[in-house]
Amino acid sequence: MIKRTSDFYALNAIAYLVVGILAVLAVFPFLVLTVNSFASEHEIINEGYKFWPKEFSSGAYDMIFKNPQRIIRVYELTIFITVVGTAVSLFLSSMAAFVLSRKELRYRNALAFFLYFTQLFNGGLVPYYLLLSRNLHLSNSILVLLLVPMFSVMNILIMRNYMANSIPAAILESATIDGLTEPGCYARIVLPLSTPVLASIGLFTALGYWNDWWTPMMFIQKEALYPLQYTLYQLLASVNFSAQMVNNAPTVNLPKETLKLAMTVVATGPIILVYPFVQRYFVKGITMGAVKG
Amino acid sequence: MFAPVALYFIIFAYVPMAGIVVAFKEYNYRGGIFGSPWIGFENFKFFFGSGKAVQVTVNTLLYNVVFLAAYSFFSILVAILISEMTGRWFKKVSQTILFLPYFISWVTVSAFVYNIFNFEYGLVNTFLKSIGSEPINIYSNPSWWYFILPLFYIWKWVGFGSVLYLATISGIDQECYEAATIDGANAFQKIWYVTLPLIRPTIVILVLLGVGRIMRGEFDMFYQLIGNNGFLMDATDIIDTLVFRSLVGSQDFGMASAAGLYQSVLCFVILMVVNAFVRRYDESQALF
Amino acid sequence: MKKKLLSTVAVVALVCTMGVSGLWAENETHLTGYLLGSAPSGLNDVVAALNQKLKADLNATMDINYIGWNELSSKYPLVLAAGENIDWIFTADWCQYMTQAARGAFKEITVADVQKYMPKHWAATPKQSWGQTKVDGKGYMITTATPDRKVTVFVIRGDLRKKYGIPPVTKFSDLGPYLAAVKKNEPSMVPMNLDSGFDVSSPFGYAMNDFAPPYWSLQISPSTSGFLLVGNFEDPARSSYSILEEPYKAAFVKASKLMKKWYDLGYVNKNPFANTVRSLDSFTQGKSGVAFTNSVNVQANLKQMQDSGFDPEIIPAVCSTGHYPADAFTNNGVAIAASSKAPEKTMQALDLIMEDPAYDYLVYFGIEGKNYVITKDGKVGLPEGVSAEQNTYPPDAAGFWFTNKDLFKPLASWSEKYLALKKMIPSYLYNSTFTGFAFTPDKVKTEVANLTNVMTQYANPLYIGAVPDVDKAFATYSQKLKAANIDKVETEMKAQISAFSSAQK
Repeated sequence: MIKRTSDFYALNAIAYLVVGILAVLAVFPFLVLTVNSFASEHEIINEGYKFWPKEFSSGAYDMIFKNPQRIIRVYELTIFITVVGTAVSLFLSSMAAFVLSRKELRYRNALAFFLYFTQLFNGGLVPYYLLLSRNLHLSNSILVLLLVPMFSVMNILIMRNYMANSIPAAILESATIDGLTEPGCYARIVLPLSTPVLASIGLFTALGYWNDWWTPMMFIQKEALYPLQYTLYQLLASVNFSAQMVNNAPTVNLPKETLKLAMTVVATGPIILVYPFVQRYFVKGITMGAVKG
Repeated sequence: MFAPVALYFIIFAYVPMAGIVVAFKEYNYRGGIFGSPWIGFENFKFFFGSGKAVQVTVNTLLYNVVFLAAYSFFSILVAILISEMTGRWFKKVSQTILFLPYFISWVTVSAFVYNIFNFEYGLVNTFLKSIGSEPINIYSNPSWWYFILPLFYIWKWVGFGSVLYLATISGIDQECYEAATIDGANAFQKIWYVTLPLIRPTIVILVLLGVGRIMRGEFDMFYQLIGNNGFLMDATDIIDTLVFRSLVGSQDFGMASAAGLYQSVLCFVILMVVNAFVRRYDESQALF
Repeated sequence: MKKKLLSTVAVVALVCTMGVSGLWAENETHLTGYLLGSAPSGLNDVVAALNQKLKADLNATMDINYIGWNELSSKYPLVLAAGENIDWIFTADWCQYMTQAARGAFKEITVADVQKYMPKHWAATPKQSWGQTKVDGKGYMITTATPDRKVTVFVIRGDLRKKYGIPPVTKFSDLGPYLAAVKKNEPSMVPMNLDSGFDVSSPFGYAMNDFAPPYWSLQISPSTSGFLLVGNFEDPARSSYSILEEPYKAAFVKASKLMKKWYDLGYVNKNPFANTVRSLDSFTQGKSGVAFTNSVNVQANLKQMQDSGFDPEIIPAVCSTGHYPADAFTNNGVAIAASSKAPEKTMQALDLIMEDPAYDYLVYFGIEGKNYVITKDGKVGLPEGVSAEQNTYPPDAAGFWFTNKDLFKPLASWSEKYLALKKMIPSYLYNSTFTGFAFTPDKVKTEVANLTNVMTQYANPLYIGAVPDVDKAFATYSQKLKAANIDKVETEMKAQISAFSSAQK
C-alpha cells in the first residue's frame, strides 16, 4: 500500500484546495442560473439575478413543456441520434486511428496529413450546403443528423496518439507472432487497452451530437426531425423576435430572459448524467490489468 | 479499416473543397460555383482595405496563444490534481461539476456578465456603492477584458480539457510509480518525473491540434460578450468578428470565402512550421 | 476504387430520395413555400385545410417551410442558391430582396403574367406598386396590396409625468425634464434603458427627426441603422447627401450632443451594448421611463401597461414637417424562386392566398371556430375557452404578412386607445419620393462592407452619446468614413437615384 507521508498529505491538500475552488466557480453560476430560471420575468428585468428570487414562476418551463408529447419525442430523437451516432463514430474512428498508429504502415504520415488537411482548408459553407442538399439529397433526413457531426479529425488523431504511445509495442508484436490478424489485434488487444481514451472521445462525440444545432438549422425543415438543442434554439429565437416582427402579437408576457436560463437547465439535464459512467474508465492501473489478464 | 473514414472525408471534405474557388469569383445563382465569373483578388479587398487587417490578425493570434497556453496549463493541472486525490466521492463529484460550464452557452454567460457588472444595478457596482466606492464601468474599459476573456475561456473549457489528460494518466503503468517510490521519490517528484513525461505525447498532440486552429477565433465568445461595443473593439476585435460585422448585411459568398481562405492559409503556415519543429525534436510526436 | 465507391454512394442516396419525393400523385402540382420565423403549433391543421381547398380549386398542394429569425442572414441565400424544392419565398426590402434579385435568385414577374395568373391581386393592388419592385429594370416581387400603415412612436409614463408636474411632451427632444424627474424620483428605474438589438440608435434617430429636414436614409446593410447616406423624402428632385454634408451634418452633431447630455446626466443606461432587454419590455415591466417602438407593435403591450396602472402616452416620432414616410409596398412581399418548376401554378395559388377572403382568413387567423371566431359585433375574436396563450395559430404569427389585410375585420383585442391611435396614423403618412428606389450595392460591395464596419465601431458611441467630446468623435468618425471610401458609395447612390428618377418620368 501507499505510505501516507507528509508529501502525500501536502499534495492532497493542494489538490482539494485548487479543485475545490474551481468546482465552486463552476457550480455556483449553474446554481444561480437554475434558481433564477424559476424567477418571474418581471423580477429579472427589474432587479437582475438573485440568489433567491422573491417571485417564483414556472413560466419559462411552461413554455418549453407546453406540448409534453413533443418534448418527449424530441428527447427520444436526440437520444437516438446521440447513441447511434456515437457508437458508429467511435467504432469507425478507432479503426482508422488504429491503422494510423501502426508503425509498420509506410504511408501513415501521409494518411494523417490527408485527414488533417481537411481541418485547415475547407470550401466554406456554400459548396458544403449545395453538395449535401442538392447532390446528396440529405436534407430533411435523420441521416444528415448522424453524418454531419460523425467524424472529427482531432478525435481520430488523439486516439492514434494514445494507441501509439500507451500500448506497449511488444504486446502487438507477440500477438502478431501468435498469428493474430490486424483486425484481430484491433479487436482483441487495442480496443480493450484503449478504454480510457475511447471513453473520453466517446463522451466528446456524444456531446457533439447532443449539442448540435447547426446541422438541423441548415438541413432540417421538418419539425418532426428537430433535435433538442435546435428546438430550444428555435423557441428562444421566436420569443425574441415575435414581439418585434409580428403585428397583432397576441401576448407579450413571454419569459424571454428566464427562458435562456431554463433552456440551459433542460439541455444539460440528461447528458450530464453520462459523465459518471465515463469516469469509471479513468481508474489507474487499467493497462496492467488488461495485459496480465 | 481506414476506408470508411477516408471515404467520409473525401465526400464531405475534399469534394466541397473545390468550392474554394468561390473566393476568386463574383458569385451568382445562375452560374453557381463553377460558372460564376472570375474576379481575381477582388473579394479580398474588403478585408485588407478595412485598415484593421493587421490589428485583428494580431488580436486573433495573441488571444488564441493566451487561451491555448492557459487552457493547457489548467487542464493538465486539474487532471493531475484530480488523479492524485484520494477521496473517491469528492473526486467524482468535482469532475462532473467542472464540466457544468461547458453547457452554459455564451449567450447565457453574457447575460450573467451583464448582471454582475452592469453599471446601474449589477452585483459588483451595488456592492461598491454600498461601501462608498466609485462604481466601475467594465464595458467602456478595454483593459479589463484582457483578463476577463481568458478567465471565462478557462472557466468554460477546463473541465472538458482535463478529460483527455485524465484518460492518459489513467493509462500510465502503475509499475512506473512503484519504481519511483522504491527510488525514494516523494509525491511531487513522482508528478514531475513520472506523470508529466508520460503524458507528454498527449500534451504535444493537443497543443499541436490547437495550433492548427490558432487563427480561428472563438467567435461566439467574442460576439456574445463584446457584441457591437465600439469602445472595446480595438482591443477585442478578431478576424471572425470583423468579417461577420462587415458581411452580415450583404451575405456575399465570395467575400466570406476569401476571409476563410486567409485564415486557412495562416493556420496552415503556422502549423507546418510548428510541426516541422516538433519533428526535428522528436519525430514520433509530430502530427505527420 | 475510392472514386467508384463515392459514385455508388451518391447514386444510392439519389435513388433513396427520389423514391421519397415520387410519392405525390400524378398531375397534381406540389408547391413548396418558405416563410420567416417558426411554425405555429397549429400549422399542420391549417396546411391540411389549405391543401383541401387548393386541391379542389387548382389541383395543387402546398408545403410550408420556415427560415428562423436567427439564421435568416445565413440560410435565406443558401436555400435560394440550392434552389431545391422551392417555389415561392417571402421577401421584402428589409429581407435581402435587392441582393437576392440581383444575384438571379428569383423569377422575373411581368405585368402580363400577373394579369393572367393573379387577376384578383392585379385588381386589388394599386398600379404604382409594380414600379417599386424594379431591380435593374426588372421586377421580381409580388408585393402586398396593403402595406402597413405605421409610424415610429415613443411611449412615456403619463402617470409619472403628471405626478411630477411635467407639461405634455410632443417632441422627443423636449423629453429632458421628464427624464430628469424619473431619474430624481424613481431610484429603481432607468429613465432610458437601451438594448443592443433594437434601440442603440433609436433615441438618436428620434432626435434627428426633430433637428434635421425630413430624411430618408439609405440602408446600406440590414445590420446598420442608416444616418449615413440620406435624402430629403419630400423633395421631388430627390436631393441626396452624405451625413458629412450640411444640413444633415449639423443635425447629426446636435442630436449626438443631446444624447451626450442625457448620457452624462445618467438618463441613459451606461452599457446598452451588453443589455439584451428591449426598451419596450423593460418599460412594460416598469423598469424604464421610455419605450421605443412603432404604432402597430405597441398594441400588444398596451393592455399590460394599463393593467400595471401605467398611463401610456404614445407620441409619434415624426419628422420636423410632421410627416412620416409611408411604408413602401415592397415592405412585405413574395417572390417566385428562379428554379420553380411550376411558376404559373404558384402564382395562381398565391392569388387565392393573398386575395380570396376564405384563404386569407385561413392563413392569417387559422381555422374558424378553433383559432378564431367572428364576434357578434363583427370583430375577429377568440373562440370561447381559448386564451391568447393557448391559441395554436395566433394572428399574424405564421408569417403570411403579404396577404391583403384590408379584407380583415378589426380585432376584438384592440383597445380604445389603440383604435384612436390607428385612426390618427394616416394623417402623418407621406408618400416619400424615394419609395421604390432600390439600391444595388454590387459595384461598391467592398466599400459597403467597410462602411458597415466603421459605423458599428465609431457611430454607435455617438448615437448613445457615450463619447468624451462629440466634435472630436465626429471628426474621427468622418475621417474613418472617408478612409472607407464613403464618397464612392455616395456617387454610386446618386447615379442610381438619377437613373431611378428618369425611369419614373
